[in-house]
Amino acid sequence: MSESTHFLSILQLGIRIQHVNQKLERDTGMSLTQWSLLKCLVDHPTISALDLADLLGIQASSLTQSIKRLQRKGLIIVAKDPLDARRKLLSVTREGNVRLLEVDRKLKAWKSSAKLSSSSVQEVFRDLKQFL
Amino acid sequence: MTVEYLFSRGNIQILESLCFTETLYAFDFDGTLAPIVAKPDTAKMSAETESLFKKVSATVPTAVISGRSLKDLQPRIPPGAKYLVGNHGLEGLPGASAIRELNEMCNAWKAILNPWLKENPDPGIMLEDKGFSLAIHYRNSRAKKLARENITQILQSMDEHAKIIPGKLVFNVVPARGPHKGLALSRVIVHSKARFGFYIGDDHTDEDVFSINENRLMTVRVGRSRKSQARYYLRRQAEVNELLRLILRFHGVEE
Repeated sequence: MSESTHFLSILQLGIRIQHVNQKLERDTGMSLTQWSLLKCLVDHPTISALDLADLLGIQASSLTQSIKRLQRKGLIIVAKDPLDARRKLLSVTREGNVRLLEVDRKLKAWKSSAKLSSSSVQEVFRDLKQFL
Repeated sequence: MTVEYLFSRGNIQILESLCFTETLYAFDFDGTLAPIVAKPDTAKMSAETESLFKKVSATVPTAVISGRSLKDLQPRIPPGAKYLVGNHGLEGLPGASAIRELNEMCNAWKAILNPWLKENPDPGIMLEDKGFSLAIHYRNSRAKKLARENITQILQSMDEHAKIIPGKLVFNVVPARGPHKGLALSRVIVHSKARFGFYIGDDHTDEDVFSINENRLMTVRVGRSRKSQARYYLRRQAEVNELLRLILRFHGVEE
């Protein structure tokens, strides 16, 4: 694959993600970031914000706004760790789980019509790694 | 350290969040599923607890991890629990077999304790042989303080292979290098392929679970203790029924 094709693939992927994000927000009121956070939280009840950031491979500060938004929407609860008051523990609420299942259903329906297959995403990421 | 009451509003929501993923619910027996009684032989679940526990076990994977021998524990638990682990983790672990060395070790400790009991007769002190560990109960002693002091003294003469775990009016003597409840729970969680673990217990031996530094585990102690490493507590054993009801309700099961 030539260098220009690489960049084109990355650009196309970025645009598609943007489109999916806009459509998701419009239809469900939930962004892709919020959806992926909820997905992760469902399998890690009571995880700390710091551990969640580690798990996602991002900085904890990048999560702050998304966590606040999810909390305001009543989709997660943030509680202090009884063993360490400095740590905040995150868990999904029932409402959060219901919303997550709704979004999952929508994404599944879109997947069949979308041209973006998981193998093509992996291919672009593999190419991206070579650049970085 | 601030342990929190499990049934406060926010913490109930945390408990509920466990039902959105594959969680293994593990329980201690004495003092948790069954009330503490003067004669350990007579300990059993109340009819209500037994009925609720059966339903919970039919709904989610459950484990009972006890200090009792497996032979002693089995008839006290209704069918349905996925894992029964006895002797503080020495018996019943998936993939593990009983080790003869541990049994020999236990016999050597008995050879010290039995003559001592004969020389210091107190009908309220009872030595329980669990095959791979021992328990010295002094709940029925009329002079509990003296009994405790005397037992402490004799236990100091035990070899380095013996780990002494004090409990509620009992001293447990377990192999120092053997598995403990914490290790047992970790292995059971891995074996069950659960993504998260819940554990409730009431005793010192349960601290081996409470002190696991694992963020995929929710720990609850029956009875508040500031020294405990458990994150949450229930006020008394009778509240375990409410806990079982909540687990059922969160999974949409009617009682």
